[in-house]
Amino acid sequence: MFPYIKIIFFLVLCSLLVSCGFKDIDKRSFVVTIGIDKPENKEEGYDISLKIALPSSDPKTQGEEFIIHTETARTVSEAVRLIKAKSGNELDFGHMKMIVFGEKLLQEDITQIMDWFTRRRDIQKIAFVGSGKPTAKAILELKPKGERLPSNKLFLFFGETGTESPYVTTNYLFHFYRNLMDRGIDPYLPIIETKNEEFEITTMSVLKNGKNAIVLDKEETKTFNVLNREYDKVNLKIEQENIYFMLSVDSISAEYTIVETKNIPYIEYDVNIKGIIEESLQQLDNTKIDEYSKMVEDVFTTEIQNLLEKFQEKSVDPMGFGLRYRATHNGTEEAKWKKWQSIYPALQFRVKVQTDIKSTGIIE
Amino acid sequence: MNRYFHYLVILNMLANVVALVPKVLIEHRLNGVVVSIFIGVALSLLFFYVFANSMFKFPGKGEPEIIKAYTPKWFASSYLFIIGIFYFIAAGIILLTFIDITLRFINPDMSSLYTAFLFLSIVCAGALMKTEKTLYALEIILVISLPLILGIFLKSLFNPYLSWDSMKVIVQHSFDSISIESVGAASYSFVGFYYLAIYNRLFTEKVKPIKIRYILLIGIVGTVNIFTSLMIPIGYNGVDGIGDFNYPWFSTADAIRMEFGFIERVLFIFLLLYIGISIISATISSHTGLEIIKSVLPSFKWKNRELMPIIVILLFSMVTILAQYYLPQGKLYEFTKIFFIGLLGVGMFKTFLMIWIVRRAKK
Repeated sequence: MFPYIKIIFFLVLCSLLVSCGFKDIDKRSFVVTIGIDKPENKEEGYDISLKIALPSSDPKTQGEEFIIHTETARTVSEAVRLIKAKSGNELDFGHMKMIVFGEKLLQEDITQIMDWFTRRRDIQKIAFVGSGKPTAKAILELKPKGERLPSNKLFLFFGETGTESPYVTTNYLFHFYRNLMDRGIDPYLPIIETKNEEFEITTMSVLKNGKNAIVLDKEETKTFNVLNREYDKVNLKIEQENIYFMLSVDSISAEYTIVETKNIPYIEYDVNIKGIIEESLQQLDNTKIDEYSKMVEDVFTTEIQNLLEKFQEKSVDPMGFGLRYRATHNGTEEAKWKKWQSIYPALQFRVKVQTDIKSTGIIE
Repeated sequence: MNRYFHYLVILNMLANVVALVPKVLIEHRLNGVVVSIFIGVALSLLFFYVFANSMFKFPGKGEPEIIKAYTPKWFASSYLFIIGIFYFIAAGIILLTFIDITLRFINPDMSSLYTAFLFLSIVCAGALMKTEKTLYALEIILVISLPLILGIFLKSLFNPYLSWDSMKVIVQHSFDSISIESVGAASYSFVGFYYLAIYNRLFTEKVKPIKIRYILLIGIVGTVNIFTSLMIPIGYNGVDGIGDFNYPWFSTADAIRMEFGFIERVLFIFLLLYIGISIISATISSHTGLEIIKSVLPSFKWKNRELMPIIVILLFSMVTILAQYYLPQGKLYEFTKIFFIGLLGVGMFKTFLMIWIVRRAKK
């Protein structure tokens, strides 16, 4: 009797192997990018566009085809349900690596729409986020030259496996959501534009209370990335009378402390740059290298100072000074947060840049 | 010392992620959680020292034999019965949580009964094995998953998107009101030594008593472990945002990106590793519970086969499946908190009991 028990148990276990939970790969549509826009003539709701990659069965021609479905609904899930009815396949969000918010959507609080992205289990928290100009759909529809897989170019831009540029601001969904929720730090989004059938990602916007508060230009974006992520693949331009050279940065470190004095509190920002000169329009003199360092320091100090003051003026805080204040002071969170809000507008910035130019390159 | 003893201690440090410990600690993140953790660590190290050393004084004997030999019969049977149930509850919490995680992250289309059946069949079959064999299973699983889990922990630490400022906010609240729930939750990471209650039967050689040095080492490893399981989710999801997450560590694993790993999303590797850890943890707990309860229940034989363990295990499975329906995630969480506090009480009682027994044994 008992030996059979094992066999029966085994057979019962085999019955668990019926796979009705999973759908085959050819019955799935892989969404690679989602775009969210504000509908043009409606007050409420969203235009949801899904970019679905069409796989090709021929391995030589990779599937570069895609379709875009757009639906308008009050919530994201309703729109996704409607698109499901259109596509005929099960929508699979497991490969969705890019989320694009339309520029107009960012004029209102987007905290609400983030709920869907954080609640769904199959949305990657490491998906890239960005804001699409003029609309998210335009970004989805663009098919740049040389793109071998749908949306792959965007992934290469942001993933840092392809291009590495100080103008491209990478932000992940989890990071964006964290900064949106935490008091004392404001989230930012790279702005993706289309120009001549190509992407242009050189600027960024900072959000305040879930709304677009300030748009940075190219150079400010660069400075922000250098400060925020200690991004060292960057060139600094030094332009003065009868001298014009580019410094290629090898390493950079940026640290700050909030100093509270009786009169005016200030933030001490220490930036250390090491680099070599990459290109110059004039003959450079190796003995004058200290002078050149001084020039770099002056230029970069004003750039940083201007950027930080611009943030302060619009009372946005993408650097997380507020969070740092909360992290270094005692008291209840409410009291600290209130105190910080009164401190921030009056804050002074003391930026100190130290530059070490290691050489003038291979030639003088 | 036997290497299997280390495995038992490490097991709970890994399993705490599934056992809702991070969630309890995170709920109290602005309530003096740091000091609570240190109190929990100190208390459990004391329990550890006393319990493990007293067990090692009786080589080759499990707790049921020791208790039965030195205490009156009514006390021994009721005490062992309650302790046995505690082990089953520990196994049940891990199982129920992981069933829920499976449904949420792996396959939401699967019915919960089906998932429960799948996990229970493995755990029950494991619990009915010989004590020795469960240890071998534990060794295999730990050897495979421990390096990878450590790798994920390290990878998560060296991420430029990790916010250290969010974590420092927690430290600012170190000395606020201390909660007993977080003390209990912190002590969960250390309770692996309780498995000695049964596994001491295998350690037949006389070993030297544990040195304070070893206890300190365990303390340091455990403290690092608890702070990892509390702080890293906060660093990834923010001090204000983390409160919304049901399974902080799984959401955190999803925020880690390995461009050149086997799979870009670390979540799936993490889930895979934790299936193993939670199943072996539930198996070891329920095996210990089974052996303890078996020692107080009368034996029930049919054709020379012992049926009592099977009846107990079936009962456990039924309770787990019923708990699936009557103990949804929110209630299970509340229940787990009570369990953590109970764990402290049991630890206290056990410590005094063991001291008393060791004294009697000397006479």
